[in-house]
Amino acid sequence: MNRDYWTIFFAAQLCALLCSVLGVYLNMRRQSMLVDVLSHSALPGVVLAYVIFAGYSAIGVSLGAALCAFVSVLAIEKLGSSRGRIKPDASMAVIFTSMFALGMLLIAYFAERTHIDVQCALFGELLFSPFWGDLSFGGLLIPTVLARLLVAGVVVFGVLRLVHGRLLAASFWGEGAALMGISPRGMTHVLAFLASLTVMVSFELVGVVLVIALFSIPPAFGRLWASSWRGMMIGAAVFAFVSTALGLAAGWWSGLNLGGTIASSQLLLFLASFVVHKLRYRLRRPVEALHGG
Amino acid sequence: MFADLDTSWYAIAGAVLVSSVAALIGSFLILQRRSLLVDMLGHSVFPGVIMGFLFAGWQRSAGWFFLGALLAIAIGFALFTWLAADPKVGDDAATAIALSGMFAFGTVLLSRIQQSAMGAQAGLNTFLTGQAALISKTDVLIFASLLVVISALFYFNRTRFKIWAFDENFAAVTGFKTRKLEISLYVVVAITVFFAVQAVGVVLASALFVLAPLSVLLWVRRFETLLWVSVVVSALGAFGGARWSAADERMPAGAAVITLLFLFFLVSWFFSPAGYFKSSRLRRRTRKTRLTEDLLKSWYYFYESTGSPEGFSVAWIQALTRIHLEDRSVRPEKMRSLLRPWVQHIDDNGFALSAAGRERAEALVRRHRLWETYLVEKMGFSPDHVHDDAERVEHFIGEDLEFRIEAEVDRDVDPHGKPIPGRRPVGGGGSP
Repeated sequence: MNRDYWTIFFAAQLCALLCSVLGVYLNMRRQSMLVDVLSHSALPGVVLAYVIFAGYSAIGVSLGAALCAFVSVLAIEKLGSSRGRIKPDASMAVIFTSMFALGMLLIAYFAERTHIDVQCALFGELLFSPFWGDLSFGGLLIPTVLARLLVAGVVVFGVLRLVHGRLLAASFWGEGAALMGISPRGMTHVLAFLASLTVMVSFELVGVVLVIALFSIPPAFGRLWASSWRGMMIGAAVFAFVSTALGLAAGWWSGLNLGGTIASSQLLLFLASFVVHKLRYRLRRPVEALHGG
Repeated sequence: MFADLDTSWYAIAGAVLVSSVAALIGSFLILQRRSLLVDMLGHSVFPGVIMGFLFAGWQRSAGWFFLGALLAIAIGFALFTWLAADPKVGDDAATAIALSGMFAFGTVLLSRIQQSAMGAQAGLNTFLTGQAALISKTDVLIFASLLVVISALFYFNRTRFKIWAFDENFAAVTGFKTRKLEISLYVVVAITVFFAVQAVGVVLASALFVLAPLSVLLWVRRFETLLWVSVVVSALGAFGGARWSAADERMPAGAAVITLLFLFFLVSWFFSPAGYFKSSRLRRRTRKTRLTEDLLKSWYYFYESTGSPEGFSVAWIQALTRIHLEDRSVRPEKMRSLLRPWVQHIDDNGFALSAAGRERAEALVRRHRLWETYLVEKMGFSPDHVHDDAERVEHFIGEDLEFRIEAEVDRDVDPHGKPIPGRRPVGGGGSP
């Protein structure tokens, strides 16, 4: 295995790890579909960045995308509430589709100035990520893709370490959190910010749709098998590691799209574990009835 | 009959018909809180389209396309239902998993096709942005019959659909079988999703289902009205959007339609009776009343524990807000202005309530404790579960309801042992 393979391997694993850890928070808050919203509503921001910076610029695209994603989170919050006429799911559906339409409108009118690679945005280009070049840190050459993921990882884990307790309080006991002086809305925004940051660094690797798989499947696995937060985190991370490794191996062996094989292997592994989980309950129920009677 | 019409008219007619059907079904999905379902089904189309390409031998063959897509939608939907039924997975995660999983299979299949030198670029682009211009006379006829079938389905089952849409649990408890309705509805949904994806692309297809009904929902109160008005709105939006895109060749039809519908949604959101301005004014008013009543109540608690009606100050209330008030961000000046109608005098040292203020405070506490007593005595609640409910209900209980509850309960202390203020003896009689 040469250096390029290791670059791809570590990029994919870092990406999967980040997504699965944040995914645990989203899963427990019943907000798995938020990632779908974030990744789709980033489109106008990406297009505007292309227009303003006259071509691709990594920082411009990330900034524009993150800004748009964040604005749409605020809009969703403002529009929907479980007590109002517009329910949260409907407000999500309205905002991300409308943002996407806005993006297509911008593409239609600035088409000559943007050369957005739709294929890349949809399916990612994990395979070509080593060709983004290297960054030099005092003589140490690190592939750009890894450097970006590492920076995102440091930010995500750093912020999570700082706010973890408050985030949990705000997620599951809003009133109590408010009494302790924590703003539940503020915590929601922190989480949305971290998630959009992660989506921004991941979507160029695995595509805007498959990033949803990375966010939602490992935590769902963790939730099936663990009964504590810690267990769910570890379960999700281990699942992400194993399924990503398997997916990469399958992709390299067959030459298929790497993002696709990773997400497919996650789905297949999850379905297998889901069947076992179902069987486990089916087997256990009569025994419990026996004890209970 | 259509022979002499320009082909762009087919596109317009097709867009109008698809949007009408989508709006009709969308009204339903919104009420069932399944707005994101269409997004999931739309993404499931992807592997089906690619499979269609594989079987059809690289030609645009509507039959294989359609079969593949329907099959894929069915698989995606089955996956979703299977996963969502497990409480440990839940609706949201099931949607995300089915959506991304099906799309992943599509991605893998697509890269397989691209390997074998034949591109599926046209299919992919159709999937992404839709091809309203390719709508043919046959398509228009199919859409029209779809609209007729769905309208008939809704019309002949309107009562069942209504019960099912508003209260699934009630439908289940009353022994009302929703299975057949569910199957017929989702078959229709699948077919419509397929055509909507063809016309406007995968992401905008889900907008086509939700935008018009949601805007209309902000204006109307009746289910039947919701259905037909959203069909009209959606059809108008589609007509306008299709004309716009026909006039300006840069503009894709899907984005044009959705932009128009979104503008209508924004107008509804800001200016409709249930929209932002009206409802926030109403919210502010109710919030003010509740806040005032909570302040009066905290005076009563002070009075009750110290036995002195004087010396209770805004600073005291601030200390108590953390316990008694729902809204913790109220400034002292605001509290003073809210209390002003109910006090004799107010300064930094404290305030004295007027007779009306005391009466009001007492009435609130009385209603609170009466409700708690009623819940425990008559409804069999346990004493530690009734406070939160009473905190809400006390603001809404009127005098006649208060009398009726009073006649029902026997005790004159609440479940926590506190006396019910101003309790009249059982069986009427107005003496204090």
